[in-house]
Amino acid sequence: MDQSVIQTTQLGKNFGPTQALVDINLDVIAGMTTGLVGPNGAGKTTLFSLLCGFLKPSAGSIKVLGHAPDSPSIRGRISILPQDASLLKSLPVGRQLSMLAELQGMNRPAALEEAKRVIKLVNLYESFNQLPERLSHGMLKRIAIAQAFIGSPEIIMLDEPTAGLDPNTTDSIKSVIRQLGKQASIIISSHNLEVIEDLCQQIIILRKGRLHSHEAVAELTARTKALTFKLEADPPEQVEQLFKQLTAVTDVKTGAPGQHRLVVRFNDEQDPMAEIEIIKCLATAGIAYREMVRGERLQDSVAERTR
Amino acid sequence: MNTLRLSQVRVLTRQDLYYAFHSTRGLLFLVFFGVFWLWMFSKLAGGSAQWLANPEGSFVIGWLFDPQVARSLFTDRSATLSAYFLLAVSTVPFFVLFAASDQTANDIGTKYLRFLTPRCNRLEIYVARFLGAVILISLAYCAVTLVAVIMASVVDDVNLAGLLVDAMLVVLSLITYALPFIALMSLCSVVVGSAGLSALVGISVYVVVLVIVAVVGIRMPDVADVLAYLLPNATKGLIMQLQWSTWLQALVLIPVYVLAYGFMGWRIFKGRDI
Repeated sequence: MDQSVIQTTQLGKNFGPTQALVDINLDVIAGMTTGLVGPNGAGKTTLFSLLCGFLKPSAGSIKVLGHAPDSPSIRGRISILPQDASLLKSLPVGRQLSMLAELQGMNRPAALEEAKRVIKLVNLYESFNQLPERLSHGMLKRIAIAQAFIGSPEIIMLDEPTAGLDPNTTDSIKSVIRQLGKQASIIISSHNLEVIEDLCQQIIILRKGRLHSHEAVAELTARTKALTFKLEADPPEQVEQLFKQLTAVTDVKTGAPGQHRLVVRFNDEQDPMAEIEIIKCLATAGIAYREMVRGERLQDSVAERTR
Repeated sequence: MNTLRLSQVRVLTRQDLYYAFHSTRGLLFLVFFGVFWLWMFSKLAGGSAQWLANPEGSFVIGWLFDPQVARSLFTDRSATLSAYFLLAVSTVPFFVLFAASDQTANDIGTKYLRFLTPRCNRLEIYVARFLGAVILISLAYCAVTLVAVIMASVVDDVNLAGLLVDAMLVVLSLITYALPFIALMSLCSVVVGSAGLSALVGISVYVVVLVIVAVVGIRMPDVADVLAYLLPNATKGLIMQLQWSTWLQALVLIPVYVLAYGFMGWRIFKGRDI
């Protein structure tokens, strides 16, 4: 049986009369990277904050590594990247990282070395002695990520780890997370579903404060048979008319203007050659594509479910 | 469950002090405190405090405070040190409200506590911030008392050994007197999200209770006397006599205030969202 690192039972959180989360039952498996997704207001940040012990539940219970989130037994065994927390002003970031490392039980020289190690992980060693107020938003984000990598945590919880980062930095952070995912269970809350798809094996979808689903990312994206095309230009209006003669096609979706994206869903039980027919149809209509992938992007699957 | 690990408290307290000496707010307090005492010492430097040891001066002190205080402070004691002590006791509430207003308040507002809570529990944070404020204020009063002692030894004709013993009592009395105010600020700083607001809440609480006591005192002086014990300055009368015996009496009362305010603050901090 898989060992679970986080369990919630009938978890609920109210803010005054507003029910932010209702009856959440979760079982997060050890050794997996799990994504927490949902539209704005779905309760992602609230759930994340409850798991981290920042918020107190209004109902139900949470177990992190078998203990309550505020238990001393889990101190130093979990690390967290809070989304909107600020570092202390007027103190060099290296000093702050070193202080946090000391709180994880390291002596001063070891804490200093650890601070240097984690700041190198996010490529900011040159800013070790800089004050936070002198750093850009993206750099502060990377420092906040660095503090989550201090020590050898068993669970790493990251809230929007790539928000506000440029593509190159995003890639390097993703690579660090991927590396750490081999040693720890990681939970990532993010609106960026490409990051989730790239890094996570499991996905938790929240919708209107309730748990919509908790399943494998691969399962979610493969469940619907579809072809996703990256076109040379935006698809023409009424593109669905092209496929009306193909009985196997069940749905046609286009991306937002400028995305040049076309998703064709089909049912190949009726027509085993459906994929070929769809491609032929596009060629006949003179619609060129740069790229075609089987299945649907996670973004489309999640959007469909949380609509 | 919140256990108190001394190693964590020690690290957090050290960090808090380090931050106090490096942050703008901490430095602002120290500069403001330093400038105030520089100004006060410049007034006392010419030996002007010796006038307070005269019958006229004692009468004024007796009228302003208490005849017993006037006798205790200005008979066979360094007038400069006693004048410094009077000024220090009178300004303790103000400086403590300023210096101890940001124990947890700003960190709640900026959510910095979210970096700490995976590594230590809330009780450790709460206790360490209280201790950090106590040490900062104690160091500040030790420093200015040292200056007062040096000045008194130069200006007044007193026995140095006696002066040093008095100076020790002065420092202990000031720190003892400050403790309930720091605990009150621990309570105030867990209910708001900024240091400024925390200081405002502290001042408001203090003033509101003071007004209630004064109003009630017009009709029911006995009830007012009891209500006055709600204020953190209830030991002022004992402290101001600057006697070891009265200081020990105050020392018995102080933990009651510290525990009462501290416990109320802890109950709020323990259960609040951060």
